Amino acid sequence: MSGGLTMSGSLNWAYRKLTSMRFALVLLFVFALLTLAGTLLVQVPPGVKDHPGAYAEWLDEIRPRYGGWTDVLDTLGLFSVFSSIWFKGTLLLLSASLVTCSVRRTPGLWRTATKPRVVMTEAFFERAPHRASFSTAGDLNAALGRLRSALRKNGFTRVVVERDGDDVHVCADRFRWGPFGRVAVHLSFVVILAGAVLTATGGFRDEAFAVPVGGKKEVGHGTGMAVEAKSFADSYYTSGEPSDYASQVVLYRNGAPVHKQEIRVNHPMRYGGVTFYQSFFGPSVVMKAKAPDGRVVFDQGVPLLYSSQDEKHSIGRFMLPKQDLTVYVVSPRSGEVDPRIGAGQTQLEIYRSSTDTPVGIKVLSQGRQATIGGVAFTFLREREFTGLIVARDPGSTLVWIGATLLVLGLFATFFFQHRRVRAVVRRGSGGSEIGVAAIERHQEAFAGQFERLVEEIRRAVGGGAQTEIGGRANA
Amino acid sequence: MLRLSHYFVFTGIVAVVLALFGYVLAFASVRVARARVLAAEGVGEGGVEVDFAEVPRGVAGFATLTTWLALAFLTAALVCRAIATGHGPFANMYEFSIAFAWGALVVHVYFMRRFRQWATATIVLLVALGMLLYATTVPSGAEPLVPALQNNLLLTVHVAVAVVAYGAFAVGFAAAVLYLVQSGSLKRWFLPRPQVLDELSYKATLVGFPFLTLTIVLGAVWADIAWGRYWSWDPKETASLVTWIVCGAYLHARSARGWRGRRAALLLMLVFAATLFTYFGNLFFGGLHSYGKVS
Ligand code: HEM
Repeated sequence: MSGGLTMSGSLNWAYRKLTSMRFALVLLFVFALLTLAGTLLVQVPPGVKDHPGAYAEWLDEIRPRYGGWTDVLDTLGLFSVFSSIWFKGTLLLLSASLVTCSVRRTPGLWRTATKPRVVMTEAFFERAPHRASFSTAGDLNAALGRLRSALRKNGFTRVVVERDGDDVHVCADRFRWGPFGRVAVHLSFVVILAGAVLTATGGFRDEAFAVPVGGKKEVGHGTGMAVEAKSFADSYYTSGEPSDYASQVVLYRNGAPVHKQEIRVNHPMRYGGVTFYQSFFGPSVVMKAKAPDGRVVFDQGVPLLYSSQDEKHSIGRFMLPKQDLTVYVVSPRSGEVDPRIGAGQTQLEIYRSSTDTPVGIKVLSQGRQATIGGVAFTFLREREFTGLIVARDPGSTLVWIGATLLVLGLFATFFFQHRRVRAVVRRGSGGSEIGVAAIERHQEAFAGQFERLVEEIRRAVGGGAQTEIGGRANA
Repeated sequence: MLRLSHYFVFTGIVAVVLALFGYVLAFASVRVARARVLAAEGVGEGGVEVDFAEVPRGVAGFATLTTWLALAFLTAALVCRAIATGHGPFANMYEFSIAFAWGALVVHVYFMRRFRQWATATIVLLVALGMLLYATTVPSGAEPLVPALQNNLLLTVHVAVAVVAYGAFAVGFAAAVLYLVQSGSLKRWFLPRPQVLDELSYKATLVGFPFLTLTIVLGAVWADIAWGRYWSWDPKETASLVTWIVCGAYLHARSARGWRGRRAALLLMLVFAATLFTYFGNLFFGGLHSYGKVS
C-alpha cells in the first residue's frame, strides 16, 4: 500500500517537475551550456573514439592545451559533448517536458479559442486596462451592427454575441488559432529530435566512397547499387581557388543502369533514398592482377586515398582474398620527387593478409608487369578518382517536417498573436451605449492596436457620438 | 559596378555618422528645451519622456533623413555588389559586414515607423557604424565563389534572413542598454519610459527569434545539399544554436515567469553578445563556414 503511494507520489513529482516552467528553463540553460562547451572545447574527430589507441593518442595531442584538466574533461565526456550522456539526457528530459506540457495545455487553449466567456461583469468594463465607451443614436441592433463592422475591419473576425437580460455582450477574437502555433513549436522540437535519433541510429554514411574514373564500385549496405564514374573534372579560377568539381556518373541497381547524372558540389544525386555527394578527388592507379592459372583476379583503379606519414606519398590498397594478399600501391604525391619511384612509376608493397608478413616490394613502370607471390601484377595507367559521400538518412524527412512545423509555428505565434476584446451594448439615454474593454499581457504593444480599434468604432457609431477612453495600466 | 558599390559604402558611412550627429543633436535640443521648462516650473527631472514632436523640426528632419539616406546608400551598395559579382552580396566578411549594418538599419527603420521610437537610433547606428568600419579593414575584393558557396538561392536567402535576425537583436540590444541606463540612474535621461524600452526590446526579439530560427533551418537545408548532412556541429552552427537557445530562454523567462526589466535586459545583452560571437566566431575557429577567412 505504502509502496503504491510512493510510486504515485514520485510519478506525481515527476509530472510536476516536467510541466514546471522553472525546470524547463533549467533544462534549456543546461542545453545551452553544453552546446557552448561543445563550441569552445576541442571535440574529438568522428571515429577516433572507436579505437582506444587512437583516442589515447589524440588525448596526448591535446594535453598541452588543457594540461591537468584533460583527464577531468575526458571523464566528464566533454570532448565529445554531443554524444555524451549529459547531452542526451538533457534532450530526453526536454522532450518529455515538451510533450507533457503540450498535452497539459492544449485543452485549455482549445477552450479559450472555442468557448469564450462572453458575459462579463460591470466591473470588468470599468477596470480593464484598455477600455472605451461610446454613446450613439439608434437601438441596440443598430449599435451592435456598427460595432460588428468596426471589429471586422480591425481583424476581429470572430464575434460571439450573448444576451444578458436587456444587455448584449460581445466577445470578439482576432487570430484565435494563433496560440496553437506554440503547440506546433513545442511538438516540432520533439519531432526534430526524433529525426536526429533516426539519423544517428539508422541508415549509413560512407564518407570515403572513391570511384576511379572508368571504374565501378558497389555501394553495399544492402542497396544493390553500384556507381560507375564516367569522368571527373576539377576546374580552377585564375587565382588558384577551386571553381568546380564535377563527376559524370551512372548508377546501377541490381546490375542494370537506372540513372545517369552529373554530380557537383551543391548538386547531389538522390535516388531511392540514397544520396551521393561530390566530396573529394585524387589520383588512382589502374592495376590488373592475374592468378597463376591465368584468371584475372583484379582489374580496376585503386584510389590512392591515404597519405604516408611523411606526407610525401599517396597510398592505395586492395586485397586479393583468395590469394591471401594485401597490396599497397605507393606513388609520390604530386609535386614531390622520390628518387626511387620515378615519374610514371608506382611501387607495389605486398603482404600476406593473414600474417602481415611482407612478400615483396617492386617499382613498376606504366605498362609493365611483375610477378610477386605467384600473382602477375600489371600497372596499366594512372587515372583520377572521384570521391563521393554516400548516405542514406532515414531521419532527415522527420527533421524537415519538424523544421517546417517549427518555423510556421513561430511565425504563427509571434505574427498572428491572438487578441480578444469584449464589448457590451446597452440601452442608454436617447439611444445606445457601447462599452469596449480588453486585457492583454503585453499592454504596451496592444495599446496602439486598441487605439486604432476605438477610432474605427468611433467612426462607425457616427460623428455625434461621445467617447470616453480609459487609461492603460501602468501608464 | 564594384567601384560604384564602394562609393555607396563610403557615402553610407558618411550618412550614418551624420545621422548619429543628428540624433545627438535631437537629444541635446530636447534637453535644453526641457531644462528651461523644468527650471521655470521648479520641478525635478524624474520620469520625463521625450517625443520627436518636441525636437525642433529641422533637427528631427535631418536625423530622419540621414537615417533613410544611410539605408538607401547601403541598399545601393549591396545591389551594385550583387550585380557586379552575380551572387547575393553575402559571400565574404566584407559583404557580410555591410549586410549586417544594413540589417540593423532596416529593422531600426521598421521599428521607428511602427512604434515611433527613435531613442534607440544612437546605439543601433553605432553598431552599424562599427560594422561598416570593420568592413573597411577587411579585403573587399570580389573573389569568385568556391564550389560549396555556389548555391545562389540558398546563399542569398539564408544570409538575408540572418542579417534581419542580427539587425533585430541589435535593436533589442539597443533598447536593453537604454533600459539599463534609464532605470539604473536616479536622474532619468531624456529617454522613453523604461516600460516602453522594455517592451520595445521584447518586440525586437519577437522578430529576431523566428528569423534566427529560419536562418538555422535554411542553413540545415543547405548543409544537407552541400556537405551531405543537415547538421554537423560545425562551430558556426553550434554558436548560432547557443544564441537561439539563450533567446528561447529569454522568451520563456519573460512570458511564463514574468521576467521583465533588468534581468530581461541583461539576457538580451547576452543574446547580442552570442550573436557577435556567432558572427565573428569563424575568425577564431575554423570549421566548414570557412568563407570568413580574412587573411
Ligand atoms: C522543456 C521545454 C519547454 C517547456 C516546458 C516549455 C513551456 C512553455 C510554456 C509553458 C509556454 C507558454 C508561456 C505562456 O503561455 O505565456 C511556452 C511558450 C513558448 N515556447 Fe516553450 N517550452 C519548452 C521548450 C521550448 C523550446 C525548445 C522552444 C523552441 C522553439 C520553445 C518555444 C516557445 C515559444 C516560441 C513560446 C511562445 C513564447 C511567447 O509567447 O512569448 N519552447 N513554452
